[in-house]
Amino acid sequence: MSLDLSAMNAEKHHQRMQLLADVTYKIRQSLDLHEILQTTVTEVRQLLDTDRVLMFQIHPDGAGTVVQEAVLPGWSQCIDQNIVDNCFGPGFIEAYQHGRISAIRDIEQAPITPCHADLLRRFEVKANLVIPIISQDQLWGLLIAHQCSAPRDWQPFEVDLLKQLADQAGIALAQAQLLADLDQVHQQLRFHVENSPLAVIEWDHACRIQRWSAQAERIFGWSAPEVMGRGPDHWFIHTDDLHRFREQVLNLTGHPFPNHTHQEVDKLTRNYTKTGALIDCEWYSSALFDEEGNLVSILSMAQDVSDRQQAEAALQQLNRELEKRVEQRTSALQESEQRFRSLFEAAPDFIYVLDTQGIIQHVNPVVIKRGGYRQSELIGHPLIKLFTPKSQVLCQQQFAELLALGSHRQEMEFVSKNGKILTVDCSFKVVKDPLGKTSILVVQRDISDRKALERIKDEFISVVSHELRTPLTSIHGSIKLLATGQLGDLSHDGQQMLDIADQNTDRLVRLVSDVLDLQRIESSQAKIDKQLCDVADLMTHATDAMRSMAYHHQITLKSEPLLTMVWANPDYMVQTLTNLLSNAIKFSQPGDTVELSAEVRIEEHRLSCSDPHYTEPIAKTGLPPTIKHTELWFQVIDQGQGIPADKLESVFERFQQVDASDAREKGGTGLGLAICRKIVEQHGGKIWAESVLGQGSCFYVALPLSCGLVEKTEVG
Amino acid sequence: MADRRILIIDDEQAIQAVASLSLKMEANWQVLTANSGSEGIHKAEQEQPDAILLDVMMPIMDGIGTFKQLQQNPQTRSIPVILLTAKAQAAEQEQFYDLGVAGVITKPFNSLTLASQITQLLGW
Repeated sequence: MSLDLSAMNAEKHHQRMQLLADVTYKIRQSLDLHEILQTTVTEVRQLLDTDRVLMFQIHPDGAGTVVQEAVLPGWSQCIDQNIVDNCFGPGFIEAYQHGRISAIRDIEQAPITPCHADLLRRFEVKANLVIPIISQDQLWGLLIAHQCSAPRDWQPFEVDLLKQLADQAGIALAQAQLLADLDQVHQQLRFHVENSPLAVIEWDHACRIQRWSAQAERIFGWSAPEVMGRGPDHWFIHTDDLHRFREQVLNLTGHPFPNHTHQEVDKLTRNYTKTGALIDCEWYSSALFDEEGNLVSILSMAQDVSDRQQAEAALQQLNRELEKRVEQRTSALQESEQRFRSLFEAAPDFIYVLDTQGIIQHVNPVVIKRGGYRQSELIGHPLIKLFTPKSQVLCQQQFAELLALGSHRQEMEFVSKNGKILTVDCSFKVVKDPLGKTSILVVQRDISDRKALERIKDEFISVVSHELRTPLTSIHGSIKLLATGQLGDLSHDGQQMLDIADQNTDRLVRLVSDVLDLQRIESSQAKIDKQLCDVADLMTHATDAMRSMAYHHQITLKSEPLLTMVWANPDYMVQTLTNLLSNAIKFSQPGDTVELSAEVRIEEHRLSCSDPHYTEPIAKTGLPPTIKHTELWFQVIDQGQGIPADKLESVFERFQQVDASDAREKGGTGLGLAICRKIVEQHGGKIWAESVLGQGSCFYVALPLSCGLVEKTEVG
Repeated sequence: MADRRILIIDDEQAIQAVASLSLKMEANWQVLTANSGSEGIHKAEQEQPDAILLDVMMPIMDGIGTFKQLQQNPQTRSIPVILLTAKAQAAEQEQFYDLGVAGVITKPFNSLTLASQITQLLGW
C-alpha cells in the first residue's frame, strides 16, 4: 500500500512536472508579452481549477492594475481595475519584493486589514493565493489565484507549482521586454539606415550585395532587386579604382576577429550610376564576424561627394587664380609704388604731403637738400610757416577754398633755412587714398630764376624802349615839323625825299611801338589788370579812334554797341579792337563798309579729365560731363579782298601777312594780329578769322563772361 | 592859344630842340629848357613857368626824383608837371598819375600837336 501510495505520489509528481513543463512550454513559446500573460492566467486557472486567476502589475508608485485575467463564467471580472496600495498596509510591496507568498484559506478568518478584506469581498473572493512575479530582479507584479465559491486550502504543491510558473512568467516577461527593446532598436536602426544621406550596402561573405538601401537607390539609380547578389565589379566601379576597392574589402575580410568588426575608411572611389554617369563617392566599410570568427557580412556606406569635389576643385582653381591676381596686383603695386617713390624722391620740385589741417606729413629729399631744413623741422609742422608773412596771409585765405574746390595754384615766397627767399609756384591738390583718407599734395616749383629773368627782361625792354624811342622822337618830330614847310621850301626832289622819310619814320614808330607792346604783353603773363568794363564803351572808344582813318580811306564804319559788361583790361581790349578795325579799313576798298558788332553767346563743351571742373563720368553714358560757358563775341566784318583758307591761322603769327608787300603798301607792321592774339589769350579768350575770298573777312574775338555750372545731364 | 611859358627838362638836346620848335610853331609858346633835374628845379624856382614838360629817364636824377623834389619845394609845388616817357604801359602811367603828375605824354609824341596835347591835359 505504501508502495502504491509512493508510486501514486511519484505518478502525481510526474504529472505535475509534466504539467509544469507543458505550461512553461506554452508560456515560453511566445515572445509577445500580452500572449504570455494570457497563456499564464488561462493555464494556471485550469491547472489549479480555481475560479479566477489574474495578473496584477505593480507600478512604481505602489498602485497596480489588473492587466490579465482568466475567470470562470458567473464570477465578476476585475480586468483593468486599478487598485491603490492603501488597502494593503505598510510593507506590503516590499514583502513581495523579497519573495513573500501569501496563501489565505478564508479571507474572513485571515489577519488582513479591513480595507483589504473589503476589496477581496468586492470581487467575491473567499480564498486567494498570491505569488510575486520577479523579472530581471525587479517585482513586476503578482500572480493571483482566487477561489470565489468557497474557502480553499492551498496545497503546497499548488503553491510550489504556481511559484514556478510565476518564475517562468518572469523569465518570459524579461525576454519579451528584451525583444521589445531590441525591436525598438532595430526599428530605429532601420529608420536611420533608410533616412541616412549615405547609401547603405551590405555584402555577404562572398561579397555579393545583400542589402541596398533606399538612399543607395537614389544615389546610384538601381533598385534593390536589380543589384541583389551582384559583386563589386565594372558595372559599378570605375576600372582604375576597382582593384583598390576589392583589395580594401579583402583586407577587411582577412582579419577575422570573433564578435568584432573591422572598419576601414576607403579612399575616394569613382562609381557608375545606372545612367552611366560617373560620380565620386567616399566609402566607409566594416566587416562583421560571428563567434567563430567567420565573416558574417560587410557593411558599406557610401556618400556622393561629386558636388563637393567639383566645388573643391572650383575653389582650388579660384584660389589659384586669386593668388595669381594678388601676386600680379602686388607686383604692379610695388612697381607703381617704386615708380612714384622714385619720382617723389628724384623730382626737382619740392613736394609735400599735408593733412587737412595743413600739417606736413611727408616731404621729398629736395625740401631738405635745397630748403636746408632738417626732417624733424618739417614733419608735424604747418607748411605755411615756411613762407614769408605776406605769403602766409595768402595761404590762409586760400586754404578753405582749396578744400572746397580740390585744387589751387598760387605764387608764394618761400623762406629757406638760411633766410634766402625763393619765389615759388605752389600747386595744391586735394587727394584721397583708397581708404578714403584725405591729404593735400603740394608741388612747389622754384621760379626765382624765371622771376629774375622776367625782371631783367622788363628792365631791358624799358631801356630799349627809351633808347629807341628817344632818338625816334627827335627824328619823327623834326621830319614832321620840316614837312609842314614852315621852316622853308624844299626842291621837288627834296620834298619827295622828305615825304619818304616822313612815311617810313611813321612806319618805324609803329613798328617799334608794336614790338615793345608785344614784348610787354608777353612779359606781363597773368598780371594784366582787369576790371569790369562796359562793352559799349570799349566799342565806342575803338570806333572813335578809327573814325578818322576810315574817313581817310572812304570807308563807312558801323558799330552797334552792346549793353553788357565784361571782365577785361579796357586799354588792351580797345587796342585789340582798333587793331582789327585798322586792318579791316586798310584792306577794304573805298566805299566799302566795316562793321563792329558784339553779342553774348552760350557755348557748351565736354570736359576733359584734366579740367578742374571735371568730377566723374555720367553714369548712364560713361561720357564726361559738359560745361556751359557764357561768352562775349566781338565781330569785325569787312568787305575786303578776303584771306585764303590756308592763311587763316598764320595771319595771327608775327610778320605773317597774306602778302609780303602788305606791310609796305598798307603801312602795317605785321605784328598787329599777333598782339591781338596775345591780348585775347591773356584774357582767357580766343581769336580766329573766317573769310571768303573776294567777299570779305570776319574776325572773331571771344571772351569768357562766366563759367557755368557743370551740367550733369546727358547732352546729345 | 594864350601865351604860355613851358619849361622842358630833358637830357636829350634833340628832344629839347624838337619840342621847343613844335611848341613855338604850333602855339607860339615861350620855351625854357634844362638839361638835368637839378637845373630844371632851379629854373622852375626862378622862372615860375606855367607848366613843366619833364623827361622820366635822365641820368643822376631821374624824372620821378625831380618831380618829388618839385613837389616838396613850396616855390614849385603848384607848377603842373607833365611827364614825357617812353614807357607806354597803362599800369606804369597810372603809377605816375598816382604820384600826382598833371599828365603823361608818351614818346614819340606828335610834334604837330604837342601844344594841343598839353592844353588838353592841363585843361587850359
